[in-house]
Amino acid sequence: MISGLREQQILQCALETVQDNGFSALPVDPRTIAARAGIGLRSWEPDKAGISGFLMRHGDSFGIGYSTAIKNEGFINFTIAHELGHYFLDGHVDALLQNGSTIHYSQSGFVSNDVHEREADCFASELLMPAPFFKAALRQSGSGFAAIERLASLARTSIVATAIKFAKLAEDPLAVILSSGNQVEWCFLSPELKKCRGVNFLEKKSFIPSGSVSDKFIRDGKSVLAGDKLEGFSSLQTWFEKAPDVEFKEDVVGLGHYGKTLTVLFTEEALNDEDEIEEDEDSDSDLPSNRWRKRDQFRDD
Amino acid sequence: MRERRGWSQAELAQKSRLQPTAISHFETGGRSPSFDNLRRLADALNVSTDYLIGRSNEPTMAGPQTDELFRDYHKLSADDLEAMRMMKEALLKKTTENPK
Repeated sequence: MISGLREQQILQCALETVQDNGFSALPVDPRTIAARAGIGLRSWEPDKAGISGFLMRHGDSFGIGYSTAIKNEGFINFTIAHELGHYFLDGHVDALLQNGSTIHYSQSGFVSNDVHEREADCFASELLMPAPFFKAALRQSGSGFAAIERLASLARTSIVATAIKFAKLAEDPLAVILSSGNQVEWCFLSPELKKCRGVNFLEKKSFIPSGSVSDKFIRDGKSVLAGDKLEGFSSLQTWFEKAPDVEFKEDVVGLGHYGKTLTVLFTEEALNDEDEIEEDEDSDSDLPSNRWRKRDQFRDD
Repeated sequence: MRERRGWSQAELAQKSRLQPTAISHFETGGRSPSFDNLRRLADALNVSTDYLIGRSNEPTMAGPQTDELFRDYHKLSADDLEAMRMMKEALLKKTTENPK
């Protein structure tokens, strides 16, 4: 886990790097940043997918290599930004040297157990989608999956990386959920939804609830592989058992050959209805007195 | 090395475009420099990064070493190794052309 303080340091380092390189709006081009730092870039096209990228130092010269096995601009940008994270973040020099060898390596996938890989991912996300720039664009991007698509196109980032940022910075109650088959891989909640009574992070490997739009979509396996989309409505209670029975829009999209499904649950309506708070307090004495209590009193990231 | 140059922390900070507090943290071990910080310090002090990280006893570039940081090590293929070999050659050429 990255501590809250460390995360703030990483976000600050990424934002300063962006600003030092003269960017003031999306998109942020990691190639420009590498060039200005004197870091050479080289791509290669392997016969099959192997490593996605590497940072190499030889004396005082640095280079970043990136694979073009996955032909996705957002994925490649993230790879370059990730390697820049190893270059710009403090502590990563030590990580390289403490192995006693010249190689520092990590496992693949979104959630890495290696803290330095997670830090580089955190840096990459902020470098490509700095919060001030992303928030400004977010307010003009509409809602749901269509907004994520617009923002990904603007920032030149992948749909998944953009969806995570979207959830973290959205001002509306919103959840993004990535599933594989009928099981959750991860879930991110917007700050507004985290405040909602009965809403918790969905646990990894928990099942997609029956009756949800996502459940209907996933049952037709072809839709996932074909990259189809489905829109509908679900009660928040369908997804979060102890949450209020409030109708949310549910956008579902198949991520093609990845075999994964992205769900966006959202509403543009305010949730802090005073009448409902009264009603809830009367109806269930076990529940907190403030329906939309502040999450940071009770939960940790 | 800074003291050998007769520079204060503030002077080194100015020459390396870093905060004076960062220089202080690096010297006391309170914070580790990034590769970017190391490079700026090496340029300002006119020594190699290898010397600053203790991999060389000589301030100049006697025999630069190569480090690699990458994801998905377990997936390393022949194509990947070839890409890394080519990058190493390119960096070696750059270092040779711009010795410190």
